[in-house]
Amino acid sequence: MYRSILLYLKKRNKLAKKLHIPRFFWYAAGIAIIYLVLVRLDILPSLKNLFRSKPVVIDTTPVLIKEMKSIAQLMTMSSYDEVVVDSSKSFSADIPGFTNTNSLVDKSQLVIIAHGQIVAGLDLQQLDESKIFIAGDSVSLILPPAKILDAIVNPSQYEIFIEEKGWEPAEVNALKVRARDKMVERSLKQGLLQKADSKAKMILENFLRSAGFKRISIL
Amino acid sequence: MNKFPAAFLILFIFLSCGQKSVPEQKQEILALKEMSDLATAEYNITKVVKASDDKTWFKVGDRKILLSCSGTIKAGIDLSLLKETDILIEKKNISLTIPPAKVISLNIPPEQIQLEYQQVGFWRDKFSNAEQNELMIQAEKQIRQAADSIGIIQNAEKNAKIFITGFLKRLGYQNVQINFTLPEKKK
Repeated sequence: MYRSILLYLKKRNKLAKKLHIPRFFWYAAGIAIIYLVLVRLDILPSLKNLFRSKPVVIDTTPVLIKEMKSIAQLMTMSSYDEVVVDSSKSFSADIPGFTNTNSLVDKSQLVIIAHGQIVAGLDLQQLDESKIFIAGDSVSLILPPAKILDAIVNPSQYEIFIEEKGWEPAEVNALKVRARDKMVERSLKQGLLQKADSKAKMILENFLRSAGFKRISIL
Repeated sequence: MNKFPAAFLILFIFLSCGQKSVPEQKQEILALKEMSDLATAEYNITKVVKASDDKTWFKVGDRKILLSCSGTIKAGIDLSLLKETDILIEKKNISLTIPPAKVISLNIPPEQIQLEYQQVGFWRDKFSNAEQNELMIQAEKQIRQAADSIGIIQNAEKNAKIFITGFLKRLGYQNVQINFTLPEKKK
C-alpha cells in the first residue's frame, strides 16, 4: 500500500518536473480534492457556510396532557391584529470615584411586534333547559352573552424587533402579555362581541330552521 | 429676467424638503373574520423544550438550555360545512351528518413559557430572548404536529355527539342519530 503510494508520488514528481508544474500546486490540488470529498460527505461545511453558525435545533420531546375538558364553545368571530409594544429601562453605572452617576446612565430598549388572533363566541354549556322554550313548531332561546374565548399570540407570532442588553425573560414575557392585552382591548373597541353575538344568532337560527322549526326567537 | 427660474428653484427645494416625513398612520385591526366552529374538546398540555448549541465548529464552548411551556389545544367541528341535506327529520326522529372534527386552535400564552435552566460556556453569551423565542417557535411546530396524535380529534367527535344529541333532545326530538362525514383524503 505504502509502496504504491510512494511509487505514485515519484511518478507524479517526474511528471511535474516534465511539465514544469510547481510542487505547491500539487499540494494545493490534493488539499482541495480532500476538502471537496469531505464537504460532499457532510463532514466539513462548504466554503459558503464555513463561518456561518449552525442553527440550534431542539430535541424531540413528548407533549404531555395535563387535563382534558369537555367544552361547548361556539366560536363565531375572530379578529386578526398586529401591535407594536415597547419598553425601556435605564441602568446607572456605579463606578468608584464618580459621585454623580446620572451622567453614566445607560438606556436599554425592547421592541416587540406581535400578530395575534382574538376569538369571540358563546359558551353553549350555559344554554340549559331553563333557557329553551318550545311550543309546537315554535322555539325560543335565551343565549348567554358573547365573550372572548381565546386570545392567541403564539411564539411564532412574536417578533423581537429590538432587544438591547439586560432584558430578563420574565420582563419580555410581561411585554408580550401587554401586546396581547392591547389586542383584546382593540378588538373590543371594534365591537367584536356584538358581531360575535349576531353571528351566533344567525348560526343557531339557520340550524333550528333546518331542524324543522318554523318560528324562531333568539334573545 | 432671471427672477422666475430662481423663485421656481427655491419653491422646488422648499417643497422637496417639506415632504420628507410621512405622517404616522393610526393602526387599525387587520381583519375581522366570521367563524362557525363548535369547539367540544380542550386539552391542557405541557412540553419541555431542550436544546444544545454545540454544532458550530468555530465557537469555543457549548450552551445548553431547558425551557418549559404549557398551552391549550381546542378541537371541534366546523358548522359552516353543515348542509341542509345533512339533516333528515321524520316526526320525532332526527339524523344529522356532521363534518369530522379538526384542531381549531393552539394557544401557548407567553406567561406560561418558563426558562428552567441554562448552562453557558465561558466564551459564549447567554441565549438571548430572540433566540429563546426561535426555540419556542420550533416547539410550537412540534406541538402542532403532535396535536393529531394525542387523541383530541376522537374526543372532540365524541363530545360533539353528546352535546348535539343533548341539545336536540332538549328541542323535543326523541331519537337522535349523529354520523360523521368521512374526512377528505389528502392529495
